[in-house]
Amino acid sequence: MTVRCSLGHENPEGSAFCDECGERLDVASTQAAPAAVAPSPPPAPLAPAVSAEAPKLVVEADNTTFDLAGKTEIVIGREDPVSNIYPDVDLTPHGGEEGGVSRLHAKLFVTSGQYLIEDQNSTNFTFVNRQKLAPKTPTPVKDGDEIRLGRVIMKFQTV
Amino acid sequence: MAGEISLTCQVGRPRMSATGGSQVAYVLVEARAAGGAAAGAAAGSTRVPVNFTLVLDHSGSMKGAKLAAVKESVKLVINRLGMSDMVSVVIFDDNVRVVVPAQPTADKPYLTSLIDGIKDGGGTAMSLGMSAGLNELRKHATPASVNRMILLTDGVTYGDADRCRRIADEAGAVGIGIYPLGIGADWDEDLLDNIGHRSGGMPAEFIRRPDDALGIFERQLESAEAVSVRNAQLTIRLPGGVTPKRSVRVLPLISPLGQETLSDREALAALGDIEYDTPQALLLELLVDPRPAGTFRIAQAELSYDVPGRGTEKVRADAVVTFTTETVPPEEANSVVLNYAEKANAHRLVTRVLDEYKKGGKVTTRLHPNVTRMLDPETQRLLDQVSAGGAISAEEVKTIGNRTRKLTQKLEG
Repeated sequence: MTVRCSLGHENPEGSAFCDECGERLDVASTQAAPAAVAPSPPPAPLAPAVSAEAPKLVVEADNTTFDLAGKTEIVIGREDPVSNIYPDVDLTPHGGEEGGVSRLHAKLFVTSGQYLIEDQNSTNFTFVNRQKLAPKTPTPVKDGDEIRLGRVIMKFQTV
Repeated sequence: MAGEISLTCQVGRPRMSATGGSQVAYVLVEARAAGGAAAGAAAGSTRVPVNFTLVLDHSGSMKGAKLAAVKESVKLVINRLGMSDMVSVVIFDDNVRVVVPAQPTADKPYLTSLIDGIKDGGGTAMSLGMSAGLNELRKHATPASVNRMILLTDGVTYGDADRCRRIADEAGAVGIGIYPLGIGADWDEDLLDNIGHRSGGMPAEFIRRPDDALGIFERQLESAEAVSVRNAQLTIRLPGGVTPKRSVRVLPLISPLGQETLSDREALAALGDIEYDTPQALLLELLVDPRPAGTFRIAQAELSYDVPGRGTEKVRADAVVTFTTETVPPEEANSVVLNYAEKANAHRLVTRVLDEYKKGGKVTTRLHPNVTRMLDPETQRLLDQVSAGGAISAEEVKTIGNRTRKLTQKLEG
């Protein structure tokens, strides 16, 4: 069992850093003193509250649609049975590996009817409408927004 | 009474997945002298006497500012040593002379006048100086004193590098650590690091400019004065299903471990002296076979050490991991341990780049921005330069090596 860095160097499972180039392989765990960073309260809703329409994520490359209805928290990443990571939205079959999607890349959740996306200290970052998100900082998303994880582009839709 | 040293084991991931294949586990083993130097003094224990020899290169190339700075530094050391300390001074070029035979520092004006008389001249035959210095140290070396050789050179020794290594082994075997100092750009860092390592001392410290000499000699003295326990030996025992992948010292400097493998399951590392306020730490990378859910010990550390004048003590600590079938969120990881792991890995990769460069070949190791980001701007720029096939000076090579091994020292630049 191995984990690969973005350059394809193989490392034993559980490696936190690539032996060959030093890339972080398990990014969230290496943030200095995560406990010291108080979770910022979710910002007040910016858009009118969305009711239970039909929230979904559509992968641009192959038009795959992930239905998000009925869930309050959605983990987006790549499935990795070895580490016991089974994200709700698994991008492995949709170019996730080549596209630099981390195993736990981002979380999408809903608070008071407002959808927020939070980067989980991913290696290749999360972008909303081409704006890079600071890790662990919930950012509101609305219908029609482009969400990019590494190089994988998706559309967020609520209608 | 034990309690002079606290030994702890921290694991990178306190919980690991019980499913899948073998996984890497990071373990930080830390040995720390209880209390600080102040606490030691308050408890009524006077500091351990220092038995110092200063072995100095006074070859022709030391002429001028370098020799002047070294002489001033040595005088400072003599003036600062206490009544129960011993000092000797040896100078070498392609000959050797004992300027100050081993003695207490009672008559400081006389001793410093002997230092003033040192002149430059001749070639460099370091083993002669080391051998004479070792001889002076042994006259008064006891288990109850801190016995150290400060070895200063500015050049490459001529044809006796192997002899220097043998003397370092000999010193290590009798509990004498060698602390090499390189001044200028022309000394051989591989040889000096190796001498420090073999003797149970430290890798070479770099005196980049003559003005830096005084501060560096002062720190050598402070380090010897801060010794709490001596001859620390760490034994690591691994249970079945756990194999070592890599191990390195991460405190006080990132440096290779003088490690002796006793069996598949047991390894011994000599840590030398443990000083107040300067913890020693090792980072182990282990490969752990899958386990059923439950809590297991993945390594045991045992430290034995000599309390000067009071015999040998032992402490133990276990590295424990809970294997679980639940999903373990990455945030659970111990960021302190992974921080050391990241810096040790960065040091290993930067060292690899420097080795590739020094061997004159193409630099093929490509450093991820995760690594370069930790380095100071000058080091980043120099590494970019060699990666692009450019050249850097011998002094710059030494500077990168010296800074990178200090990555784990938070207060150093």
